[in-house]
Amino acid sequence: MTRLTHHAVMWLRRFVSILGRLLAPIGRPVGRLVARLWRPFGRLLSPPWRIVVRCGRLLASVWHRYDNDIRLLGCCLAGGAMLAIITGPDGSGTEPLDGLKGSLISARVWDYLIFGLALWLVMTAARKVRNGELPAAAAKLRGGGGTLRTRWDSMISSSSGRRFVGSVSLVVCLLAAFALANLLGPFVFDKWSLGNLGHQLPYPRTYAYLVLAVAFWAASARAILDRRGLRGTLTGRRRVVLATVIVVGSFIVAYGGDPWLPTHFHWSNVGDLFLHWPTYGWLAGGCFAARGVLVAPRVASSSPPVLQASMAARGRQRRFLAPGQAQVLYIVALFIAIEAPKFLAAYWQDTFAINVGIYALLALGLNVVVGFAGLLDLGYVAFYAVGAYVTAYLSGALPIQPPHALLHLNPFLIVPLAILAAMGAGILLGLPTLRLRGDYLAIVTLGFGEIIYAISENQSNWTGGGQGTTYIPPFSINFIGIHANFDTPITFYYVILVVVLGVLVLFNSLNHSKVGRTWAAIREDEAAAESLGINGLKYKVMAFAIGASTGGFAGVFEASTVHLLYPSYFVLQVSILVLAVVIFGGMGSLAGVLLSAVIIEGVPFYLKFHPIFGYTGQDLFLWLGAILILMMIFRPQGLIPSRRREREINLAEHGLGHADSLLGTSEGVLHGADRDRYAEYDREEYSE
Amino acid sequence: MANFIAIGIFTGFIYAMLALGYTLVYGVLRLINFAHSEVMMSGAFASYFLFRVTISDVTPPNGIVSVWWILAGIALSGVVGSIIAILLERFAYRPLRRRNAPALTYLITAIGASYFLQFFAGKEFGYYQESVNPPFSNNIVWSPFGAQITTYDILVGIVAIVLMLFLDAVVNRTKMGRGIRALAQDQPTASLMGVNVNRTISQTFALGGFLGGAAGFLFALQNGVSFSMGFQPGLLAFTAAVLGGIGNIRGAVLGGLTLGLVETVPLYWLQDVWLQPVIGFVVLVLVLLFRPTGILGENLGRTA
Repeated sequence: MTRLTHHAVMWLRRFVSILGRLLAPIGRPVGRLVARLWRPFGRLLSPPWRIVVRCGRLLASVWHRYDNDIRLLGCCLAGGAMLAIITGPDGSGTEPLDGLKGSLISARVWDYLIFGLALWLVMTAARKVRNGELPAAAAKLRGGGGTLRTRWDSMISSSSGRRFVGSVSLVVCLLAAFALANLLGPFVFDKWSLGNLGHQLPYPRTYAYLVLAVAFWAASARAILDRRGLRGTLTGRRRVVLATVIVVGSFIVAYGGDPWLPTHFHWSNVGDLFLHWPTYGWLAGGCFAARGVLVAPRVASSSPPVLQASMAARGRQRRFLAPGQAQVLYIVALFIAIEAPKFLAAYWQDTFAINVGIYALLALGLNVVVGFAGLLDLGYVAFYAVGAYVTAYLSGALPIQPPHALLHLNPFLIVPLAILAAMGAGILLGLPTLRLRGDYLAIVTLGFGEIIYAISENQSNWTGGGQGTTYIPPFSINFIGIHANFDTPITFYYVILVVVLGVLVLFNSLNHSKVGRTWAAIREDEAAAESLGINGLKYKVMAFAIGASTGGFAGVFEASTVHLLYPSYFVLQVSILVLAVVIFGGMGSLAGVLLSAVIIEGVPFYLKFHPIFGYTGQDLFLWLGAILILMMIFRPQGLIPSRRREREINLAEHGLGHADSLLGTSEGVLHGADRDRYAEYDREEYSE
Repeated sequence: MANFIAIGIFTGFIYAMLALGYTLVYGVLRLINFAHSEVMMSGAFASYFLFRVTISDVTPPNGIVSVWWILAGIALSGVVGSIIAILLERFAYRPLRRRNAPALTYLITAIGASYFLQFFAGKEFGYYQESVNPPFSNNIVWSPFGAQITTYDILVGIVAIVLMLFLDAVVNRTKMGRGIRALAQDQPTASLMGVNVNRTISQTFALGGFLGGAAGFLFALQNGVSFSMGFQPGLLAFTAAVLGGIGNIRGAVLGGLTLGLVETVPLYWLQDVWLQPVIGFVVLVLVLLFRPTGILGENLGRTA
């Protein structure tokens, strides 16, 4: 190749020189003429030309010096534009990238680009500080003295300086709150304008943001002053004023944050405020904060050193909550779960009962497969469909009838049969697949999900096909003397709440039983587990079957609450949704999975009709895909990590064990020296 | 019957081209790259936009002109497929690799990337199906034993064979291919021997992406483009890769052809088109039951 170019260049040169020699007699005078004519222009153009050259050199040197920063900037801006496209209106085959159409005047695009710029600034600054490229800031962060710090100290030790810092930061906080209100508000117009901000004023939501900003500002200012031991003393009257402000502020936040009140403020709505539970929540929080202001707080430095040391040690343990706190939180969560739906609008009752409830159950089941056993099941919806169609069959809603009319059962009686059917399907599928590499399970289950969908769609003489089934009865109790129908969303919600709680307790004890420990052993090191006599296949199939049966269980609920089944309820997207719930909450963490079911199922329903973040139907899966990728890259342990899983992931990243049972026994076994080294790492990082 | 065999073979060629992408990546990273089906989809969309701008849907070009357009379509969709595959590797998998993340994380990222790309295309290009303006007129050119072989079939056959020979040559004859094979056998040793791991993995993705994009072009000529077009062929192509022996390049080709035949020919008796993928998955489960290493055997480096 190089020889070829070399030859080509040689020939070109020869050709040019011959041409030059031929043209020399004409060329020389013409050249002289051109040069003479050019000279004045050249003199005129030379300074700008020099500037261009200098700029180019400057750019080159800047690039040379800061190429990483510039690349990062490009990434951030591209990310901002990408977000703008994603949140923009839908495009089409004839008009792709409609999200950017008329882009530069739309507030959305600018907001995201500014967001990208800000992200870049933060990331670069953080990196430079970490690398010590910003010496003053680095010194300040390390607390090793330096001029900036002394200047800052002297500034906040004088009362005028404190006032200056305080007012500037207050203004910044208020502006940020305004910007947030503008971006999140439901009445934003597409064009960026000051009037837009003005339009936010009649809505109490805006004031809620402002109050929160002030609270944030006050808290951080206090924290800074506390750390310096310079906390201003509050006189009695100031305290009372502050406490009143906090309580009033919590009222405003309650009004603004309540999704069931009209968004425009009106005095007649104030009475309605007290019908809704968020009001009580915010008021309680506000009173708590006000009490903190009224009762003189302890001075931080006065707590005994033993306590400080133990708090520091607890901080090092990286525990999310102390055990006592966690129990209180669980009780509060249970209370909210029981009480909240009574106060909700019918739309939200329906959402919580059907979407959050059923998906929480599904996610708990998938969590056994993904979280406990470390396998990946992408066709989880198939078991859900099996459960639902078994329900439809046994209640006589399918074109094919059960063999005897007496077999038209109440859904309560169908539950064990549906669970058995789904479990059988799980074992049938898992047994041949799990003998091999675990990652084949993902693709086999994916295929199985498609088969179940294809059958339900096309075998219309079995399942009713696209026409759907006939009416499936709701849960009901018709016992001697007792008659109850769980037909309304709220009653159904309580049924599913009880079931979810039962499953939660069951899986929690399962995870702490011998079976759970065996799963952990298989995840961490299958070869070692098998050498101790553990039958890996048996426990993997067990996890898979338990997950499948929970899916079937959820299917019964689906069938008996929506009453008519269509094949489109059982597409692959459902599996991905459930997987996203598990991953977002934290693999293997039951509390995380429940919380994430509430978030991932609740937030889209809230955002559905939002003008900026509102999405149309299938766009949800775009975000779910992004959530899966981002969680895996930045926080694989999930929102509320299971401590054991987090440890396993960390260890696997340092070369010890697997953290999942996908690859079987044959790979990744360390040699002695490595093992010792990583065991040492383990001791250092996780010693209690 | 002969017609079903012909359809099976030409479907099999497309599966084979896709399966090569799966098997290359699986060989190097031990990863089922679920997003490979979206690489195929992006290639198909590239050629769709090219032909929508340049070719009228009423009068397709003839003769040498259509050959040029076909070449342009293949080149464009292949290059777009490569670019998407490289971006995928760069932004989704490399951060995990840098952290030495567990295998489950890779799989979840792969399915997440697949969904992200699929629904991104859906959002930008619409959640519906469009047909591609063909750059040639599709006629029956040859009918041996009653099979009807069209221009399209001939095109699929030629393109698939040429690209597969090209891939075989690249993997077996060039320095880059030697790097890929070294990486598949033993990654730490290969990097000690001077193989640039990141670059070679990118090259693997690019190679697979080129074939995937070109397969998307061929698939779209017959079936049109849509955001979810890649899903089912992708799944079946992975089945084909397992059928032929995962990690084994010639096995992927053989597996693709076999799968194409096995899932098409029974339709002669069954007459239900929707059973086609069902047969494919049943084949997958049967293969895993009875011959988990595939027809030609696995070639993941450990055994080689």
